Amino acid sequence: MNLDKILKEVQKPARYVGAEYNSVHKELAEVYIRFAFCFPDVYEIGMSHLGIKILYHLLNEQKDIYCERVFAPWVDMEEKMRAENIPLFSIETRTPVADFDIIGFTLQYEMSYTNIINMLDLSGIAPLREDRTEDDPFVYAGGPCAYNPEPLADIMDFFMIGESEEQIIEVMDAYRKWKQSGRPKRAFLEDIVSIRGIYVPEFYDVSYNEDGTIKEMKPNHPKAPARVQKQYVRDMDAVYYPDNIIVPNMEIVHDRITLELFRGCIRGCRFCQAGMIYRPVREKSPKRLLALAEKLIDNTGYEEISMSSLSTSDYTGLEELTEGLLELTVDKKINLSLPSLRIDSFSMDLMQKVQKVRKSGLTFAPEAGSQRMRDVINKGVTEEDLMRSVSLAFAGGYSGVKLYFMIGLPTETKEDVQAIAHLAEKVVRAYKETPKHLRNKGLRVTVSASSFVPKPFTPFQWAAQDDIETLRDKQHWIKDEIHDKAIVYNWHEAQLSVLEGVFARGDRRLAKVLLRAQKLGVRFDAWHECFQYDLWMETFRSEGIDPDFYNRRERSYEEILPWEIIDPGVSRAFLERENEKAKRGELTTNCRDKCSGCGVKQFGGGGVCD
Amino acid sequence: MIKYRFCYAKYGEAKYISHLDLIRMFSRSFKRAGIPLTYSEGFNPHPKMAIGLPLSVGLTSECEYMDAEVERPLKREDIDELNKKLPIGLTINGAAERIPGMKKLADIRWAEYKVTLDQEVAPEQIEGFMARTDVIVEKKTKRKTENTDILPDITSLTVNGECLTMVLSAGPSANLKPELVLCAMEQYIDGFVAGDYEIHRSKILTDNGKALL
Repeated sequence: MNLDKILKEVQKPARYVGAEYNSVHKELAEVYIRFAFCFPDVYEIGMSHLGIKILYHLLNEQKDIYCERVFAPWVDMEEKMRAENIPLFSIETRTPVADFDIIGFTLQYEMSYTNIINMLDLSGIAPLREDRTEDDPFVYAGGPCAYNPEPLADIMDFFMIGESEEQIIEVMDAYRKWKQSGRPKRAFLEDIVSIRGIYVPEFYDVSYNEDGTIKEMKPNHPKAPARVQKQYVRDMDAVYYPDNIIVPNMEIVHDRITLELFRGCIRGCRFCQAGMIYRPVREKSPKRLLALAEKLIDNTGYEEISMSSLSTSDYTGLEELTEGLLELTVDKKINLSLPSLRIDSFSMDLMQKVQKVRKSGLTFAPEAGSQRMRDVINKGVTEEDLMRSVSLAFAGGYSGVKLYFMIGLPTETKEDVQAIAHLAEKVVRAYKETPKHLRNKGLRVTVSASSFVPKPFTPFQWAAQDDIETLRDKQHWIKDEIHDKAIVYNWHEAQLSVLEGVFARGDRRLAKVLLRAQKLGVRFDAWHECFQYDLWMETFRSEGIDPDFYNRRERSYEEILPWEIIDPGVSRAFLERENEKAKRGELTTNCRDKCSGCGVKQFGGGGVCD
Repeated sequence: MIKYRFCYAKYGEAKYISHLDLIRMFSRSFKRAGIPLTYSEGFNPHPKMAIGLPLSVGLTSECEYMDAEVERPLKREDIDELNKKLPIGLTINGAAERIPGMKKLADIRWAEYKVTLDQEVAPEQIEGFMARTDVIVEKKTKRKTENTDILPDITSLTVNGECLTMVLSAGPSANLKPELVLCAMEQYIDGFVAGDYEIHRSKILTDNGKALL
């Protein structure tokens, strides 16, 4: 295929050619399983994702497996590919995706689903499972959004639920045996359905009540489990982690080394899906992380290391790790970045250590403006925590502070919303009260308000989502209350959040909406310049599906929820309990102080909460 | 701190690395090879590195130049190590300490390009083109489009079957891109269509007519 010709005519051709340092190249004659890791967004987003780095190198450590990368071509490239009849291809060997054995998609956000349909279409692979033949590759998906697999149930052959490091090797072993056997495709699905975390949607039947809610979801195959338990890693120090990650030839969004400190979160914020589905909390030791950091520095040449987790300041070895990392990095002019610091445990000491190399802005996530609202969501931080933290930051020379909030939370009132603006003004005041000789000039307080989207397996999974008008009103309530010029106010497009809400809590019936939307030209919804809300609404109308059914309804505890075919470890009883406590504004203590009995300890072979 | 000049080739997939990305790529490659670069002082330190003449995305070259400041003297093994640590399609093929009297990157005046076309061109057609009194083309800048005579910036243009060789003005004072010469040829040579082509930079010359290294 003559790619060079079209690459001359598109933006950022480096997106499509690979050949980066540490990318893997194999002799095809020695490869038995060809695996296409598909990220349903552009290269610079996909390459920023930690999961792809782990699984790419993990699979390629297996001699007879060649894992290659595939990204969604940007609209200019897609246009040229369609005009020249060039099918979607892998970066490493430019092999058409349809020629692979297994195609794996990662589901990081709901608004990438149309890109999945489009990528299959560009590959010449029928997006609907029932339209595919014995000659087609297996198409599967994993990642956080797979915890509600149902909107893609008619698309995927199977899903991997949970953390794949160990499970994916089991599936590959099964694939190797199946390929040698020459049996039909269904036999492979029967082989893997008993592997923990594997969900095969065709082995389940769904029936509906007259009101459209689910009557029953039950297996139609004797080997399929009634509920699919997620898989997770037990020993974080023993689990595979790459020390030779790809260094892209073009700038990507997160262009740095990522050290994963731990999985799970002790906090239990009630809106947060990650905080629920990644339980239990499991840490890597500072020793293991420092050994990895040293190798990653040598093998990549990166100038920045980011410590990644859901709440970095909750890492028990943070001091030892930071000290060790500073020793490794300061002389080499390598920056450390500490995202996800909690307001309450923020320490001046840590901040000063990190800013030895470079002083970047600080980000805090109070999530809600009023104390009442923060208690409802179980955020567990107070206004005093925030004021103390920002005062320390200003006295330490920081003049840029970002504050993240959500609007549209359950039980929210106008006062709660306006409190967001008031809190930002108080932050400005804290700056003005900082002695002039300590603070830096150029105060900038950025307030970002995103719209809350209720997610599966959270205590708010039953909640009704605000409609577009309400969300827009709330955005204006904040704007009207901001008076200081040092405050920059950003908000998210409410239409996008509403659509995200539909697919987050959607069911199998939404597949036809995705298919039609893609046909109409919907793709890259997460990109402002591509998002076409009117086209989406037209699609819902023509498919006879009411989006309000999915996001405007407050669900009852009696209702069977589409995603309950999956068992994430946290129990329904716990989620109901938390939802009731939210209504009363009661807090739940963090897992380290007192076990809240979420269920993960009793789940599948005993818990390993630290 | 020692000032070095490096000569490198850029080919294959690496031809799609943009000029800005190239600096970052080199700085990381030096780190991987254990060669300490000198960093600027200040708030946001960056390595002291400069590339002689930007190469458009999609073009290959055998003779690119980069100046960099390094914290210690380099040995042959350092360059070998660096070559192992570069992405596919980039090779350092020469390095020397910069000494007083050596030409600067700003002294670049010409570049030679080899253009492989998908058709043959008759030498008479090229001679006719070069014998014109002017070659006016539309040159687009960020703000406006204007008509310019590019003939003074074409030092030589010859053809051998499907291969054109162009020596064009290059550097800070005047810079003519080979793509623009192809456009002009389409405009002024009857029946010539640039079609599918590959452009390769084969030489960069300074005001004394010699290479930089």
